[in-house]
Amino acid sequence: MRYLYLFVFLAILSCIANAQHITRGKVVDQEEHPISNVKINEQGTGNIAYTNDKGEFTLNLFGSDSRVIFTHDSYDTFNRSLPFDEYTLVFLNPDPDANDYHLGYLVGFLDFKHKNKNKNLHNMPYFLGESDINRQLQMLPGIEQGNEGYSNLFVRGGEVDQNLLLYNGSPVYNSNHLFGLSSTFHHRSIENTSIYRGIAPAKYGGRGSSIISLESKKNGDYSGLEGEFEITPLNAGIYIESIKKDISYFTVAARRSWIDLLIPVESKQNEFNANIYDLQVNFGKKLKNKDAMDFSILSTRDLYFIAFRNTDTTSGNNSPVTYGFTQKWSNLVTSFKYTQNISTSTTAEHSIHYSGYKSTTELKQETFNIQLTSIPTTKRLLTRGVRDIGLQSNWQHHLNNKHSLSFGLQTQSRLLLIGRYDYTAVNYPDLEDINTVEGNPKYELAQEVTLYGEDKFRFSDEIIFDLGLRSTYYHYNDFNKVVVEPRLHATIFLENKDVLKAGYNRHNQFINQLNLGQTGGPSNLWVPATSQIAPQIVNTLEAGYERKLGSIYSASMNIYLKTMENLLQVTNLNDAGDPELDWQTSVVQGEGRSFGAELFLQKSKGTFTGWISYAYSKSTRNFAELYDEDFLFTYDRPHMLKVYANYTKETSPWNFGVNYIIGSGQLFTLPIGKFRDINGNIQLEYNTLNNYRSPFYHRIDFSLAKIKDAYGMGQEFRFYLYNALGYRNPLYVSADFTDNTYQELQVHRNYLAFVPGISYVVKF
Amino acid sequence: MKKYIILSLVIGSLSACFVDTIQPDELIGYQKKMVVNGVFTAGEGLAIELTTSEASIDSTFPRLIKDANVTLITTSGNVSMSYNVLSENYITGTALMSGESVALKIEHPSFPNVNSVVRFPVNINAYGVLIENGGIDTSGKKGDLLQVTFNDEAGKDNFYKINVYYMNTTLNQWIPINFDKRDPSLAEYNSYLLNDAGVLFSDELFNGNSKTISIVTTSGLVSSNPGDKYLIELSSITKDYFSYYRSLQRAQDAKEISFQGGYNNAVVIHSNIVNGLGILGATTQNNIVLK
Repeated sequence: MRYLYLFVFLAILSCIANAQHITRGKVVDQEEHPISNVKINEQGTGNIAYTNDKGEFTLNLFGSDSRVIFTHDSYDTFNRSLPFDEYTLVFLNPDPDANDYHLGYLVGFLDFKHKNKNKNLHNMPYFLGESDINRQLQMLPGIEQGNEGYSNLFVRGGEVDQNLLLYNGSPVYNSNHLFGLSSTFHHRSIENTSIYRGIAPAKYGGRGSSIISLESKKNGDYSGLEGEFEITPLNAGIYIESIKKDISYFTVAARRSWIDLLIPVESKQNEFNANIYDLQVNFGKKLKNKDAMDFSILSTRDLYFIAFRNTDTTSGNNSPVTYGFTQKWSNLVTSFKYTQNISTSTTAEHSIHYSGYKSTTELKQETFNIQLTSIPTTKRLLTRGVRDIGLQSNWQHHLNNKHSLSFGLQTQSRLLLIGRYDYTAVNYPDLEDINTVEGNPKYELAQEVTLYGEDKFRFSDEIIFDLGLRSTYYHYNDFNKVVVEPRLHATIFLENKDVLKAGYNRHNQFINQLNLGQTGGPSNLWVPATSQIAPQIVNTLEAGYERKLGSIYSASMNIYLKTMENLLQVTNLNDAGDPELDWQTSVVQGEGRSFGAELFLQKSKGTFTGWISYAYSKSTRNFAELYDEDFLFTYDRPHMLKVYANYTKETSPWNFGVNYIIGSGQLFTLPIGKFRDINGNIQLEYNTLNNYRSPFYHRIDFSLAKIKDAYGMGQEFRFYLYNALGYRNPLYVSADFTDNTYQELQVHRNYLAFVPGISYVVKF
Repeated sequence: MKKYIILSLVIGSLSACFVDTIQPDELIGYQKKMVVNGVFTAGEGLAIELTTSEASIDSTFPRLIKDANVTLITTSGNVSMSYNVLSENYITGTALMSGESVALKIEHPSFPNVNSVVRFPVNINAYGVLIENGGIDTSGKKGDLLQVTFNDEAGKDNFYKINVYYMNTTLNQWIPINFDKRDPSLAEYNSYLLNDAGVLFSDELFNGNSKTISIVTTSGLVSSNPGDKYLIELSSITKDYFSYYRSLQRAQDAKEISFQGGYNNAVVIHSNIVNGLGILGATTQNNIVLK
């Protein structure tokens, strides 16, 4: 037994001794952008490590007096000695003619900081002048807006609920203002937007199509206080950041609509009111022991109220009656993250988040009677929502120069309020007050517990494997399920420095959003997987090829195949939205499939920057209950060519941007014929679903910014024009009978054109 | 000033929304089809209704087709169906039996030929029992308990239609009953209610087993009837017939929905008519009179 103790003691000692032979750091360019795949070689030895996608490296078995050589084909070779157990920032000088395009990350990944940087997105043309994160994503290949004008995201033929939107790591359940016309995320408040379009690390999961991560600013090039104020026709907003470089940060972003402030208070209470706001507060600090804390809050709200007055003639005394309709929805998302440096080879992130989404619809009737001292009032309030509480512990361990491990435990407790009605009737003479609750009055718990592990394995100088597994245990009422998801990815650096990537992922999705008539709308209902409603399963296979072209261009090509099982489709909108009925009886499950190829060409240097993308895709659905055969997905767009270009020069008083999109039109379902059924009633004939493709989609948007300095502050007037050439891209196409004889059908098309926008920005 | 700001913003926003009327090629180039409506009952004469379909953007109504060649191809030979002016149907006195298959072929010079094949379901040999005042009705009073039992064919999906009637002695006719659907197979999720108060359901919950459906009628409904009290029609129906009615039900639900766009309010009516529309269904019916 003594020998066993001695062996364990020696083993631990050995580990500690090994751990001491480690140095860590980050390799960056002169603008502190991380440089991936830098070869780090201990001079005179075969001891080699590479930087990861964040530019970070860990080098094992390091001699105390050794020098380390940093080599990258786009940067000058550099060598220096590095201290043990320290985290060192290493700057490399770029080769003047080199292309700094970031070749790292998993296939299908895109962001606006590393993969697609320097595009001056503040100069992008935005709908109504609201600089919206989702509008930026919509210009990328494989990401579509869905209905014209909306701020939704459909990624590679997937559904909206298959996107996991993370704000500083916390899920957001409804990121829309204005019923989906604008997202809650303003361009200025987000430092980087990244998206995994199908293939994702094992750390992420739970949604089938994409992981969209929005990160607020947490560090800067220098310390200081700065901000900007912006006013648009819809909102007034302010952004302030106070940053102590590498020490702490504090950022606040707030927006509120201002038109309602011009409406008299009495009118807002009795006739009409509409306002929106969003607030983001983020605070973080690095501790003395190099650990870090991050705290984040997001709060959003939309409120719409309309009322009209009538006269109640039934009571005989012609009492005035007010009918009011109020729709309100809000998000409250908070998170706290503690980043721990456990040892030179091990770091961990522990976090807790709360994400609450609530939507209410209130119908109210007040009867005014001069003979009564109080106002008889009836009210029906429909409340729906999600409360998501998550705990995560995500670890990274550097095993050796070839293996870097990620693993962790994540729990997610989702409380879902499917829908409750609160009925009240008060102050009615000769009637007792009524307060009743119908529907599903309580939040119901759906629980997910996930374990994952992944090895980033540097197989050779040219090949990297990312091999991971993610396993989730799901529990809801009497339904329990365990799933295992493989995460496989390979990166191959070719001899000509191009990169070939391929990956396969499986995602299980235990939460669904029932589309009750308007994608992105506030009333859409979040529902869990149940014993009757199987979880969605999405398999994604993707391959990509990336290449630097000269010193300023880069190109990539991706092909993918995606299969989707257990998709949900509402068959009866009325019943599915009625909390007094079982939503499960108003939905059907089916399958989907999509495949495509995407080409993406970027220009990242110079006064003119931007990109061109072309995507070919096909996406189908099969719901046997709806139609016997496969039919095209509503947002299937076989061909889409998108161009974003901008001219941005600091010394120029005028900057401008342009979006140009041309591609396949949107699908709608129109009845082609009519016939008598077996009961003698007239029925409409649909040869298939989504049978009408509107003429090709064509849109050009412009933005123009006039810049000047005044009183020591930068000022910008930005002018926007959406669909500047007035192409008739339908918002929706509807078929209505011309009269109540139900004989002749007319097809109407609604479209948006020449939508102006303006904003005024003051920077301080 | 405030008013002008609000007004200009509202006008500015609305001026960007446009509406026009279009005539898509898909609708203009519509080709008319023959529409067959017929449900054959085993052991009875056969009838079908034949009408046209019309383009949705035309103002014309669907009309009867009276001059088509309608042929039934059975195992014992071809049978021609002739147009009957009174019923406005193509009819024949030929009766077919349960388990038998029949093909329908219709030719007309103005339309593509249509055809369909249907097989009569096997007889399920249902029987019923009446227990007077043996149940509690929906108002909590004692009502008659009707029980109908049948054997579901194992190894395949089977579909049924049940109608319950009571005898109105004043009118001397059977009156449909909207009965309380307590059986799980008749629950809203699993069944479809028809206009004639019949209920369509499947064997999803009892596949291959003997099944008894219990129905409690309203208290005192037939207490004064001296003879016939209840009629239960239990029919074994074809899958296409079931799917057809289910799609009609969904189409009816969708008409109540004002939402436009997508396909939430578009329902493809199921059909088993090749090159045409409509339904050719078959039923094997058990009529059980309870006294």
